[in-house]
Amino acid sequence: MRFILAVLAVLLVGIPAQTESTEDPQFKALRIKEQQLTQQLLRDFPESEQSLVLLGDFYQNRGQTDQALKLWQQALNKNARRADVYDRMANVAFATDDYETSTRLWRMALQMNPSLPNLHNNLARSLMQLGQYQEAQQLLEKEIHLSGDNAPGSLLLGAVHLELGQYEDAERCYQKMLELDPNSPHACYGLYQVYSRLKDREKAAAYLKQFQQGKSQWRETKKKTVVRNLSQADSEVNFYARCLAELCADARKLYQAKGDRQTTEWLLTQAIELDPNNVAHRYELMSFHADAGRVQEALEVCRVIERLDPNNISCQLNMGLLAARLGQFEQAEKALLTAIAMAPTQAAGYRELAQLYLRAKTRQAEARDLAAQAVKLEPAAPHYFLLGWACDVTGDRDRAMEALQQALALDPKNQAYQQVLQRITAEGTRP
Amino acid sequence: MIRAFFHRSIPVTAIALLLSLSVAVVPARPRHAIEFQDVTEQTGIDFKHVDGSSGRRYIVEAMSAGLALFDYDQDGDIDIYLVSGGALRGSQYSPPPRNRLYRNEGNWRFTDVTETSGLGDTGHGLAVTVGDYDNDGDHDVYITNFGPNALYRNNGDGTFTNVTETAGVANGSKVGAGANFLDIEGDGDLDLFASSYINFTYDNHVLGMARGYPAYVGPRVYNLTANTLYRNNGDGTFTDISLASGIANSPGAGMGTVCADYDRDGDTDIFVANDNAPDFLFANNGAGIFTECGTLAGIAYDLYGNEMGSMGVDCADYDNDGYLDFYVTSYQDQLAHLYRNLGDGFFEDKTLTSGAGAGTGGNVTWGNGFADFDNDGDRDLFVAVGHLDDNVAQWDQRTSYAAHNLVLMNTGNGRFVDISQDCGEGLKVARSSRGCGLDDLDNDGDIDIVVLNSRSEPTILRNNSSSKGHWLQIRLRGTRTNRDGIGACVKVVAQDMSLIDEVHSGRGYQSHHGMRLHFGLGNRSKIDRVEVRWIGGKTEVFRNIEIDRLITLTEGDS
Repeated sequence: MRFILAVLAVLLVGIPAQTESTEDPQFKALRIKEQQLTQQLLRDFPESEQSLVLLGDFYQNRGQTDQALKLWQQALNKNARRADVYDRMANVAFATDDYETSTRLWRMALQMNPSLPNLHNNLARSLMQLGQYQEAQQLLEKEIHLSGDNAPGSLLLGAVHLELGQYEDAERCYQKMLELDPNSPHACYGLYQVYSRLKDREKAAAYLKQFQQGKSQWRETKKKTVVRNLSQADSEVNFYARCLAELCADARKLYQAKGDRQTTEWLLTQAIELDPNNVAHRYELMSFHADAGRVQEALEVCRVIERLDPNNISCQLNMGLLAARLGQFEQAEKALLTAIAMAPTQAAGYRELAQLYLRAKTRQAEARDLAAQAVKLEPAAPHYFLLGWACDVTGDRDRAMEALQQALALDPKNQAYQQVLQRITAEGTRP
Repeated sequence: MIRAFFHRSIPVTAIALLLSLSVAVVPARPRHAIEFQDVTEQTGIDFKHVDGSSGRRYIVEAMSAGLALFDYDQDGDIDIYLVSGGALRGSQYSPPPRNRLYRNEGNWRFTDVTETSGLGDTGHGLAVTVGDYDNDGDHDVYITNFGPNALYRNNGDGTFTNVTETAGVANGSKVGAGANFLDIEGDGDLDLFASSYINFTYDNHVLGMARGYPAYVGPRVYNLTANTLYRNNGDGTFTDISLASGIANSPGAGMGTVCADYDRDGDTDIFVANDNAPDFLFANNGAGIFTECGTLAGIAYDLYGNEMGSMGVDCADYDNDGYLDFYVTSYQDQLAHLYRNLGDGFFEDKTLTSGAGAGTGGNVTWGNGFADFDNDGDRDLFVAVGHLDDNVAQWDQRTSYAAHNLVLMNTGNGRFVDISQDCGEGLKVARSSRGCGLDDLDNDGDIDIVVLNSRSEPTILRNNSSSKGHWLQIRLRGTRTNRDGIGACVKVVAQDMSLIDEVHSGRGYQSHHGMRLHFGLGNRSKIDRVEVRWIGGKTEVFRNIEIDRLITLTEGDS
């Protein structure tokens, strides 16, 4: 069976069944892992196209587009309604100047799932390459009308109008884009071109200046990004490992969906082993443990994340919550205070610390102040509810009712809010 | 309600059938009038370019090199000068690589005359340009290197003398880029523009990585550098006037360059294609003072305001409206761009509506040139293609190191069509091309092509187009203005057609070609007049010009 799967894997994706003896040991280990994963996915999900899509994504990430295309095509053979797969294939065709194919594939994707992000814009881009401006215009206009906040679509439509000499229409599109993204250098450059053509020198000069300022900032950021990326560049082995880690992390969703917790956990562990500095994989494992009630293990994962990413507020919040679930009050309090110190203008830290105090029935006055601060920073229904709770337990019934009424005003159908408000009201009317 | 249209269900089997049909049915390809034959083997040209690589991936390896097509011995046919990379640190060659000059013997045979000519420069070559800087009637050669540049004076007897030191044009030890002779103030002698790439040295070298594989870094890693402008003192020496002329005010990452009178005000302006930076357009005030106005003119960025990884540039009047338009090649995932000259100081990006970007997005595009390959009265485009990373297939299969070059045919209505797959086996050659030169190598009235390929032999493409359109080639002879008429604008009026062109020194990707102006006339059998506006001189009108021949127009003879 193992042999058959290995042969199948080779036929499908061209993976060599045997590795060369001269191969670097690290590379060889990764290649074996890749084969193992591929075989496992194909064995466990023989009828599902998703495993083929994931494998295709893996090869595309590694730049092996030919193999990716084969796998995506096989996925379509199993399920021809996968808009996202057409989209993947269309992107490849577009990048290789095959605009006939990209247009055809994006049309298919649009028919299958018109709500898939960027489809309209992508199809319009492809149509523009084929010189089919009228259809591109109609497509973009319809999409912008429906979505209302499609900045890339407005930019594309502006460009079409500009190339066709429809300057007033181009102006309208670029202005719309500026409304959505007031600092967009693209929109400013478009408007500079429009007003230059319309001989409105004053406006042209103003937008040119704005464009140049935006560009100057962009260039500085870009330079820093380039230097940073260079310093973080992966070796071939590391990059291979990272791609495999992504495959593991994606594949575990398939196993999780069918309730195979053992393989899910194994895949998450594999992802972390392959890409130990990736905190996203560790977050997934933390959530997995927490959902399974393995709170201590989740907390340990969280501590590793803290070491890897010491400035991450989410990590501190999670540590606080997990420690609280374990009854480790002091640790929870410390983590949540750290979260507040790290992000004093975010409500989350105040909210969670207030809840910790309230649940532990300690420092309730402080909890009330914390809840009030959360409301001040973010006047959301859960924060009003928390404030109501804190006021209630500290004996400030009027303020509690006021806060709960605010919570209900924001979330009128919330039964929990209604019940608590009714209780407090009833207690107030009792002789 | 509108979206409901997209929810129409299509049976799964029907979709699969549609997909398979679309793959299986291949429409018959039309044959086009333009046809090129690969004649490299029969030419006897044995040059093989080297890029000085040794696995270190110095950024200057991939940028080498351009070529020059010019008549070095004044015997009436076009000779070929091919620039090579040199022995960079870590590489070893024996003998050291050098540039090579091949004399055209006719009948597509060439003889290597490098040794006797003395033009075998051994620097790490990037660009070359040609001009008669001393107005003695023969063509001198300027080469930009990684390291000192070199000026070779033509002795008029088939030999050259390296006069770099005397002339004062070594330009330090920079990474050279496109170079051009031009007469900046119309005083009758040729000045010299020498572009520079980035501030690279062996000591600040950075190795890039792409998907875990070693790769060349982009230019943003390094600091930008200013370009250099030399004024000809008229006595065989030059003075660096980069600061005084305003050229040094704009540091960039220069690659290909072309000098042309874009605004038709009678002086020569300078365009610099910058890699990953906005392109420059230096407008000349007529006295040799330049103002950079690329952004203002709408030619520095693409339609969206993105700076391109610009490589080569050429200009010509593709739509026959009397103004020079510019075509700029660029990096992978970017289209080569066509900027139409609106005639009022502004350009518009016509890449998409003209189709001039067809086939250029999937790879890196370098050398380029406008020429009327089928003599039908409008200028077509040739584009040299090839990735800079020899290992790109390992980490990006969407592209390839070796690639087919492109021919974009001008359909005469402002649009170009990619006919590369249908214009002869010459375009099926796949190499990693860099510079290219377009000229009539066999004096048969149509334009042939020479392509310099990185780490490989060149490709010589003979134009075998079936078109029988009439043509005219014009060689200018300045008497009061510069000898080759560099910068002069020529207008040919033939019945209903009016064509313009200019004489340029240096164009495309770090190359030089086409000082004999070529005009395709289609079925026009009579030329009404030829107007020549000499740089720094008058406009003359020449009449009684015969078609289908190469003529020489001498200043003052009208």
